[in-house]
Amino acid sequence: MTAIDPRVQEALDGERDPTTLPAELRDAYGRLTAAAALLREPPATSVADRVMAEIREIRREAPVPLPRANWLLRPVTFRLRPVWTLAVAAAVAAVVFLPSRESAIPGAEEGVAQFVGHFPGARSVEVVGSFNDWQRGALALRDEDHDGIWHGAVVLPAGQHEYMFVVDGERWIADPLAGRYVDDGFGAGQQNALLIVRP
Amino acid sequence: MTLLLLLLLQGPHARLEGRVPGAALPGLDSLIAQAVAESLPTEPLVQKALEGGAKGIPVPRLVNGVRHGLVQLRDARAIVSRATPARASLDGDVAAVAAALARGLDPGLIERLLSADSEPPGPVLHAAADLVAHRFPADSAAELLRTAPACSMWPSRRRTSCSGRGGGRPPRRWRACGRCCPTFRWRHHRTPGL
Repeated sequence: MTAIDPRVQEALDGERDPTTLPAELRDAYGRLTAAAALLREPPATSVADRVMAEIREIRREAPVPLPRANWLLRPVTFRLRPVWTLAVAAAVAAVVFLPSRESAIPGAEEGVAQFVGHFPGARSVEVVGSFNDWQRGALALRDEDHDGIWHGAVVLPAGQHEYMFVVDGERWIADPLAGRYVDDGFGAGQQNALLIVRP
Repeated sequence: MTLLLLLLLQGPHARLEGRVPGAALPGLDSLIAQAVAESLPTEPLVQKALEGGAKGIPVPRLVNGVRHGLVQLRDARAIVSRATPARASLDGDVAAVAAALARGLDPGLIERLLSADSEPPGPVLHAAADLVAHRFPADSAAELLRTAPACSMWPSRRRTSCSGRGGGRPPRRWRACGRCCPTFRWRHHRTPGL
């Protein structure tokens, strides 16, 4: 440690005019005066503020990892464009509401129904019934060898189904081979064929 | 929200719109609303309306046909309630009984069959209707179908308990059943040990 010259000390204490100091000491006096002024100035930010600022900086740079189970409790936000929402809804609705008539393997509560009809000269034969909401065009029979025998098979839920053949898109005919019939209830004495599917 | 909308669109009114003449819709809506208010199944009514629409049935006859279906559902629920007072009538049971009524099965016979612990009633009622359609006497049909579950003619809890005995001489009840049940006799001759 270097001792301060007594003349500089006197100048710092105000006991001597600093201008009377020799040139080599005047420089040391100037530096010491500047240091004292710096020490007298209040700090721009408190120590506590600086410490907290440091902590915030550290957190921003390296986030503390959450425990693994916390992801279950954390809210999750999905952002979807409206067009995607519609597409997802349509896909779900298709899976839920459209029956899979093409499925070849019946489930535990389903059975395979086979339809056969002899309609020589017919251009088209379809089966319309309670299993397809009486919707035309849902189940068309085939006659590959053009012998007039139309046939088709479909997986249906177990239970009772009423149906009719629609020949050439206009003639409604109860299946002559059904063996079971029920009045259609519309007062004209027309009968529906009855199909009982067992699983 | 969109999915909910799609679900709502599957309601009876939406299913009928465009499939039946517009003039029939108010009458059909009213009949279906009555069924809902009475806790009756609506699907048979919707099916009947769709059928009428597909066949091009004139509006008055179409609505009458659906009204007739509603009356049958009411009768069916009354039969189910009388036959199985201990349990609530299920939609499926009511619909099965209504279908049996539509096939011309006697309500008394249906009630007797339901009382005989047949669960679900659909297969028993189909069999009874088949027998009656082939001019089998109703009383004999009821008796046959009451004992038939022991002969494994259709799934039921009773069949499970009987078929668990496999082998050996058939129990007395089975032998009694075999006197009238061709299915039992067939099994008896085909299955060694029975």
